[in-house]
Amino acid sequence: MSWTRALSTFALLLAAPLAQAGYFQWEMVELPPETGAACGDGSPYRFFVNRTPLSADIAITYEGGGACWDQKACLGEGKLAAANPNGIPANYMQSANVAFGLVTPFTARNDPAQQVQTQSWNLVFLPYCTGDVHSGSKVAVYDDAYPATPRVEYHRGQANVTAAAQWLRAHLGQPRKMLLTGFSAGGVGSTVTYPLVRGILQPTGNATLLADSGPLMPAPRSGTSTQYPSLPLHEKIREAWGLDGPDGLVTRFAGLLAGFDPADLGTVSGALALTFPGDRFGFMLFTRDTNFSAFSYEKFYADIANAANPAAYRAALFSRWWPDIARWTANLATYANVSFHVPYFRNVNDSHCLTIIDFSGTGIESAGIVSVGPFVDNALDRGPPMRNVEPENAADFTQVLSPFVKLYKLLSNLVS
Amino acid sequence: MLCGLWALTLAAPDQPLRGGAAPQPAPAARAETALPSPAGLPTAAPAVAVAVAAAPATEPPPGVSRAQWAQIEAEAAQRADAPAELQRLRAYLEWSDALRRFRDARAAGARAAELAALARSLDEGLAERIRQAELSAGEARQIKNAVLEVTVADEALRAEQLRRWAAAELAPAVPADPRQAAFERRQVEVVAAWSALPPAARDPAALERELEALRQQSFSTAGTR
Repeated sequence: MSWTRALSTFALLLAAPLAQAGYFQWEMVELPPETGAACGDGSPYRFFVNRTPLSADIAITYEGGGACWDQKACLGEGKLAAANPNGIPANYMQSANVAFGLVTPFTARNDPAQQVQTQSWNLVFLPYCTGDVHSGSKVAVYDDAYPATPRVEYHRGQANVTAAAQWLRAHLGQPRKMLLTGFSAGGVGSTVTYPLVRGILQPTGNATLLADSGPLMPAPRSGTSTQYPSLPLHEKIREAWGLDGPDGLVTRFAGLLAGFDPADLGTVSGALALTFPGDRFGFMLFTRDTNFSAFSYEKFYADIANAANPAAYRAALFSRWWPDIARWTANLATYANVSFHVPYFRNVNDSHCLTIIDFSGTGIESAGIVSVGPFVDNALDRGPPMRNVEPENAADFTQVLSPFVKLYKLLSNLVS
Repeated sequence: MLCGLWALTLAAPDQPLRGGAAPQPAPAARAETALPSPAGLPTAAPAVAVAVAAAPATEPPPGVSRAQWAQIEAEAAQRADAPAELQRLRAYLEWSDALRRFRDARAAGARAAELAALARSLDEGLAERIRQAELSAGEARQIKNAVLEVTVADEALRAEQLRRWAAAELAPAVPADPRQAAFERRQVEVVAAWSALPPAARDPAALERELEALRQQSFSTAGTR
């Protein structure tokens, strides 16, 4: 983005109407199209803010919901599709039809069960509607499934996050502590846009990232897909989402992140740690996650796509996912301000995401960690970095989960 | 301007607000394991209040210091609806405090009768909290579920009551934005014209510029709320 365009964008956001809602109310903010912000279908990008007069800290949660680089997935069709293909309704936070993704303790100021210290902070929810893990900078025309009716997809994730952060700075001011968190696609998004948001908000206190189930696996272009199974995915999204374009994230990282290797998207996490040594970076995922791993590999490997049965499918997935996790955690462990928490299995949502619904079933019993909760507190409170990977644990298959997880499963089954 | 108080606190982080006693925010919550199933409620009986505690109008609401409440009042005074806004804030903070006590009581194994009384008082305020956009739908559903767990023993009946409650209380998605249909009609025309060009003449950057201009034309009146 040019300097003049950045200035005019900021002026637009300053000129936008001031917050109208009161404290402790979810306020919808619709970003002006002149900022470049858009949902995948071209509709205006909307996000939500819940302010408090009792704290100067801010917690920003990035929604997850798949990804897309083809027509059907961008239209929300099929198992491996992107969420919210028709944009974000103005009453997204209050709507019964779209609220499943909103259930995370990080956006619940009044959670009946799960307490998190950031629930008393100013809360921001960034919905996900661009199919690009909040990272893209490209308008694509997809006609691979329905040539007569092409889908124009606005992969504008980066512009959405940037404009939202500028709105927050203009209307809420400079925060004290800052937490960026997100699950699934939001885990990736909060990671890759961390330097942008941090640079705009410029928190005066601790800044922390807690990225849930959205890992950027090591995948150098000098290697092969046999060595680095996430390489085909990385190559695909770089082109599809315009990451290498003039305003693309990879291009921007060159001037923002020390230690970032443009030939390996997996170096982003370490580069963040090096660039912001006083910040804390926490990463989480489940060993038996069959959702993020499916997005990572299924469309690129025939033995997964054509697996004869679920057992063969899982075996083919895990033959890539588990080595990727091992490389990822080994690399993360080399940075002084990075933590990770990798439990084995949770019987909800394909073991995908630790921070949705609540934290039950996210412990690593062998390490004496009852749930991901202590990990969250440790990162926020700057305890010694926690680096735990749960070994194979059959007990996870039968562990008792909270009634809220049961409710989520019931509702999910009703919907599907 | 409601962001004013935050600006004030930012001026002196970690310091008491100007103009009064030090703030007394509620203790920071720690991340804890979610509550187990309430089946077979324990009977230990910690002392808990059983209703939404309505502080006298001269006292600040729970979790708010006098100085903080004074600042909130001063800020609200700039609004045309100041009395109603202060009333809403007070009601919200009292209800939120009741939820905290309900959560603590469950975690401490309070008596079933006390939990049920707290649950009923929460339930009575729930619809208003939703109406005021103070809860997300997911949050409200979890609270209603927690309330039903201590007030309705039968699991099937609970599920049915939750379903009926959600249908009645949670909003349907708003109708589609009328600007969107017009935008998409014109977008189809733009893309069709671009697609009709010889492949060598199709410039993706030019298409993006044209679509962007159309977007701004279609949605540029947007503001907040």
